[in-house]
Amino acid sequence: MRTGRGGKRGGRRGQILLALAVAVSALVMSIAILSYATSVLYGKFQHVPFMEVSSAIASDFGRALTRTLSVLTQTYNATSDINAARAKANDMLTTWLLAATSAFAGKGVNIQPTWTSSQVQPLKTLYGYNYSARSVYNLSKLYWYQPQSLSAVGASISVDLPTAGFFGFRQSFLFLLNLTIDVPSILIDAQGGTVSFRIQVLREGQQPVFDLTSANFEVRCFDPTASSSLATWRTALIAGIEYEGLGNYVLTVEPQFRDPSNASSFWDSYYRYLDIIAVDNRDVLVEACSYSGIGMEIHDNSDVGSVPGDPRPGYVLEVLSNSTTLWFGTQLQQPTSPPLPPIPGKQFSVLVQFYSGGEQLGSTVSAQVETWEPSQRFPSSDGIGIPSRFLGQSRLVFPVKFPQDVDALEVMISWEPDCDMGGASGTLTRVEGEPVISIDNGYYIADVLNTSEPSCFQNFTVSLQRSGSTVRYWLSGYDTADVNGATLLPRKVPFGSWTALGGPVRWLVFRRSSSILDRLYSNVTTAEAVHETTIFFPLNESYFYWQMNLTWKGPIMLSNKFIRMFAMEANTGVNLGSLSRSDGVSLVNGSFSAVPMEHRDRRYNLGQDYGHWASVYSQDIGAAIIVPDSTLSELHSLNGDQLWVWTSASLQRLMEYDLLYFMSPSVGYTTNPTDPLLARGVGLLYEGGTASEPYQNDMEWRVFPQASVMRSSTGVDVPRAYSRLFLEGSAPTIVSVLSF
Amino acid sequence: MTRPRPKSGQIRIIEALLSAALIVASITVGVGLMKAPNSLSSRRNEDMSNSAYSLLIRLAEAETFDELMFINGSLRKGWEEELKVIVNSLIPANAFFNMTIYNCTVLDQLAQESVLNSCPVSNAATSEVFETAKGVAGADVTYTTRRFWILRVHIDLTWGE
Repeated sequence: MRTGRGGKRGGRRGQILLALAVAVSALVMSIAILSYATSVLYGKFQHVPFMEVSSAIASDFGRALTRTLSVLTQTYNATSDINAARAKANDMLTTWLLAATSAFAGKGVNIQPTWTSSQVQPLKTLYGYNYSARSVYNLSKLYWYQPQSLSAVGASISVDLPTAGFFGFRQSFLFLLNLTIDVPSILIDAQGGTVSFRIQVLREGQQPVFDLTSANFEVRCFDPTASSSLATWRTALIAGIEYEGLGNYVLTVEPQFRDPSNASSFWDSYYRYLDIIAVDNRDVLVEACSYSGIGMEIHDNSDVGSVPGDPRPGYVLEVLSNSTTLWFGTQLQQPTSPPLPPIPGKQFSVLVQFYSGGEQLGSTVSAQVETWEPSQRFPSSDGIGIPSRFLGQSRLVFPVKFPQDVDALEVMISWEPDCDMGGASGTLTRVEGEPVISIDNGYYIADVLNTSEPSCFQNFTVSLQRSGSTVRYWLSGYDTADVNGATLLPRKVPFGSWTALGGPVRWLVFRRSSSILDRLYSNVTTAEAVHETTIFFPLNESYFYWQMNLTWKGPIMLSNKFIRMFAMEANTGVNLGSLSRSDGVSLVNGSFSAVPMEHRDRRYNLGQDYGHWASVYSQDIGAAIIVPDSTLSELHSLNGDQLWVWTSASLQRLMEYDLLYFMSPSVGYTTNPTDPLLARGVGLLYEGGTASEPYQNDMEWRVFPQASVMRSSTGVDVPRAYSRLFLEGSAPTIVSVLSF
Repeated sequence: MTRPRPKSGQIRIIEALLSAALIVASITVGVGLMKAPNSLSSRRNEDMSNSAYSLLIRLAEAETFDELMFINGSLRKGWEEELKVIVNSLIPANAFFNMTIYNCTVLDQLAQESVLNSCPVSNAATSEVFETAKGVAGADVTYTTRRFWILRVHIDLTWGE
């Protein structure tokens, strides 16, 4: 029994040993397999250097951002078109993202850039000018054209490697270039012909940029000796550059002049106005001006109040690059004025402010930038729709309206630092139309006849409609023809297609042509005259104005001695007319007859006794022509002028300023090619009025009783009051101009 | 009559032998599996990879590709040779490299690559050096030039024996 038990026990011991051996083997194998798996995983890990890949991607993203800022600033500097520059920059980053993703596709990399927003410059005051806080967002921002200007780009990038379980790499970037002009440091050496000044150039993190040379700068100075149509800002020669540490440089430049012997005004005052471009060695560009705006104090000299029911018209002022200010095409008197810098025109912002009741009031007004030909006599349609820098041929156009009882205004023209903004509309839009170009200015609808084919139905130049009434204006014409016992006049009129450009301040409709339409035969000749006409339609005003220049190509034989300067024509319902006489004080009022008749005609009465304005009106509408002194002088020049008032065969009511009055029977006339027609005028619409107390005086207004002269009229209030606004003697005066 | 000698001792011996054999076999297999990765080789590969990335990042940060490869925004002649000299001066004496530079472009939202170097940028006499090497580390970086060419720079690096 013992043996048996012992044998049984001995067999169990053997099994235990075997079981232990199996367990030990399993343990050893488990450890071995775990170790093997770990080894395999380690092997996998070591082939994906996450940090290096992520850092390399982020590093190149930073490089791409810098390049993007370079391209953005260079493109904007060249084109003045921030949208195009920004689109180009965004395209480049999109390309980079696709290329980088593709390049690291084998490693399963996810790359996600995001545009960050951060403040790069706090609110501050520098050289008396308040700078608002500047931030970078939407990838990049350019704050230029002020004494402290900067270009900046900011973004961050996230890199993930999901295949390796690596997430969360993120790096942010900010790159900038900051240029500050030390305005008080601008000094001159008039003897040596140099201007010196200090600037500071910093990059991100307030790090000084210390490796710039004269090749990294462009300095422009104003040239007061240039005519307004030529380069008014010239690049100065950089005579010296000195690095003073901490990003400070002293530049010495030699300004260039068209006429150096006549540049004394530069050394007196204009030297302070600098436009500086700096490009660092990353090719990032920034532009700064040594001043931020100019302020004008303008006095009203018209002494015109407001007529109830008819708001007083406002002015439209035009400022050229050299700050010459025009008013209805006439240069205003003004003291020496700081020039407008050669920055993109869209950056200008115009604030008009005044004091009323001891309180300063004001608002930013619309402005538009126009381009004129070098002669400054005729608009240019070059580059329409393309923003450009404000140079010699540019005009900044804005409205100025004197409130009731206010005779002094301050006009502050400043330049917006944010290149994404634009105070003025940098571009004008072109409008086509045939047979008429139709313009709604908010007060009236103007149709400008614009037929490309000769037609005998050329019976106006501009037609104005308001409240269901229509008044047509003729801008010049000459000669007459007998047709079936009636007279066609004018027989010949300027012809050709118009260019129409619209902006937030006014419409410009202009034409230069040699085409003259013979309305008798409906054919066009180009042998007789060259004519330039520009018509201005200010928005939300009751008037339009024009300037005209017609030059004879040679001695042209006219079959009748008749030249119409301007005419105004109304329909039958408008049956009253008034005019100012040559003494500038007394008026003549009269009614139009129901049959064709000459009411004022120098052949029969006092047609040559006229003044600055004439009007036709009814209770529904009034319309006037206003001519300034210069046009009156032009009218008087041939001693054949008159203000012709008549009812036509078609019972149209006409009042027209004629350079040579109508002859019947015809008298031939030969034009003088050295005597061009230069004339300006204003067309004004108003609410109309009535006249009363008729009496007979055929010398004043013929012929009683079909038509009669009137003692009193309410239809004269508006033209009598507001005509002064358009006369040279009442032009506003610019009292002072300062820069800030 | 003698009773036959019990065989339990033999069985135990056999069991012990079996147990020993089992343990020996498992240890043998386990040791085989638990063989640690060649730390020297791994380390060398890791070092090479790091070295390759460091080299490329260094070249990129110094704007070497802009300076050597381009003139006025266009590729200059013979840039491959100059780049080879520069890279060769930056790696250990017993290392071999082979660099390839691709131009990345995007057409219709699709990225495309084309090789820019017209001849090898390498200090190895033949490509066999890399085919027979025990460890080759590769690295890629992108590099955006001043004129916004987007380059992918690939380098293979190995140590000479």
